Amino acid sequence: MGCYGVECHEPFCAYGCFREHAAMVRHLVYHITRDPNDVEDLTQEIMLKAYRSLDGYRGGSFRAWLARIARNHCYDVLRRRQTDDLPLADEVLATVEPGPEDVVVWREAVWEVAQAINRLPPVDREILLLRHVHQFSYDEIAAAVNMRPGAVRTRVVRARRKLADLVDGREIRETPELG
Amino acid sequence: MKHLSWDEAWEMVQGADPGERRAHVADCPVCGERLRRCNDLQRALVCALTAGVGATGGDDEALLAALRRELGHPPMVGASVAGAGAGASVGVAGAGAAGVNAAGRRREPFAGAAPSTAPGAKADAGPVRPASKVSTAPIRVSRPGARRWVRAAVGVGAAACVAAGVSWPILQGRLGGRDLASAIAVAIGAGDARDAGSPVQGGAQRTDAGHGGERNGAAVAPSGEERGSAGLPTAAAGAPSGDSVSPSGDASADALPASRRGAGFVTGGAGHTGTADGRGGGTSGSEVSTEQVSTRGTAGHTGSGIVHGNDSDASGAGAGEAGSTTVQKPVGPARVKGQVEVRAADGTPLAGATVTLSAGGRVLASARTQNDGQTPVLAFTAPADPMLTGSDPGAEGPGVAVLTVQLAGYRTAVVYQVGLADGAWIHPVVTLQPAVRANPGRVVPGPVPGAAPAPGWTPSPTLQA
Repeated sequence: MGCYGVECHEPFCAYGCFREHAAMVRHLVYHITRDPNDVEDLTQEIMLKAYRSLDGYRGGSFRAWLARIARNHCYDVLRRRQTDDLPLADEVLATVEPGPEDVVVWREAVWEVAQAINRLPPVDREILLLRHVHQFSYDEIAAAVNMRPGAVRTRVVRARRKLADLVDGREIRETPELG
Repeated sequence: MKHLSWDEAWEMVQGADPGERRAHVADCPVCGERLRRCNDLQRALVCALTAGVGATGGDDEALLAALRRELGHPPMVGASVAGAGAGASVGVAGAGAAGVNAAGRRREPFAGAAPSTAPGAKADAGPVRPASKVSTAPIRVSRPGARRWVRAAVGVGAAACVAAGVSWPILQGRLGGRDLASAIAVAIGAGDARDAGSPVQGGAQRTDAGHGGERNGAAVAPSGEERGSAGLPTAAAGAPSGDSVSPSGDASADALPASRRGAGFVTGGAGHTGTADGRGGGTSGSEVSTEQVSTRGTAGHTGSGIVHGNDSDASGAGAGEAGSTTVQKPVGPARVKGQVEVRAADGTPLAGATVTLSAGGRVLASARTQNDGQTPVLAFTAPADPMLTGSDPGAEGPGVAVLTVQLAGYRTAVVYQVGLADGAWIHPVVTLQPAVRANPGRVVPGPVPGAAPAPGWTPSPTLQA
């Protein structure tokens, strides 16, 4: 898998576009650490770590390998700091919260989905992120989070069902009773 | 035929395209509704999961530079990549000086926000280093938290200076009608720039003209150097011979002619500093906004990444004559218009793709592509990038948005960090890659510890991180 653009020659380009990887790592770091101030530093550390340990890459999906490094590194950092799972940063919540101008109904759905995502276990959040934003396959996610593909699939299905129930429930609540 | 299961509907939304089901879905209201809900949920999911884009939007160039520095790689020359999102190749045309460089990527927020001083050089000082080349020089990786702290600390210090009546010519030259803290922040941002080590005179930080061209047009664009001192040699500007410091010409990407809009990438403005030709020298301690410049001269052109300061003559002269004119840029979110074009990998326009622009978990605009692969004209207001505005919510900054393109049979493309200048016209071209099946093979469980592996099981070729 090469870059989608013109010639690039950046590090990692043999394994896909560096920028895609960096975006994925940033999101993963952000969703694990929940600290926007850490994102750049940790991303840099992860990319360096990955580059230095390229010899240890033994085939398979490169981005899954990278995601696994990113997860391990983030959890190491969290463990060192001994911090709990922090709530989503205030500034981000503030941007998600619907304002008075949000007259479009489904913006509320987005907000509710965001809240629902926050209530998911961290691993499920990561899985959803990798699956629904970065289009990882189940096998790739399994490799990244060190689970079996079936378990990943089950978690994805459950998380989706929760979200669907949430939206369904909202629609039911909003539907006026007839008769 | 059986209705789609929720899983199958999700898989279809994510690009899996079981041909035999497609006709059924088209006719079956139950499956159609299910698919619609999954579509809505998928969009909501992407919005929610990328809501921290302002926080997670980093600087790839800085990251690359750090990698290369660490690993001893030489800087890349002329490297340019079209592609910011998963499976997408995107160029944003007209996205403006606000943080989109020649490769369509956002730049270091404050790096080089300081004006270029093109000392006495003629305005058409010739080619400037292309943005892509410039961007590869090793710099310090951005540290938003640290920067925020530094900004706050210096703000306090500067306020103390003002309270004590201490003159700070460097700042005064920049301040104009602006608040002190933001001016200092710009000065600090300039310190982050690649040329941070360059000498500073009269408060004007030298940056290569090319750097200036990549800068956020919303940044302070003080033009004048109080003393009108002889300038500093810059790579692009040539020999120092003159007097005045010009306003950075970097705000002009907004004014890109339409003919260049379709070209794909924004040059980030002209790079070159419209140098005053001496008329304003010495006395032009003025602050000329970038907007003013952009109305006078146009950004340099870039075809192959080379930026010419071709039109800066006028702007430079204007800057020199501008005296003490101060024009404030509008603050707040960016009002943007544009069209999104969606193509297949072979260049075929794709109709029916759902294009969504969102930011902070909100949908800014959404549309479907028509037969020519383009959406109707979208007009929306993009919120300012929280990382660029930092602790100053009223600060100027480009808007940000996440562009998501969905079409059955193709991988969903998610493009981050679209830097959007106020009033810009954007025309991103998104190339969708064909979908691969989410789970192509039968999943064979691994062995239970202590038991013989199941037939057909092979160890996963992964990952010894």
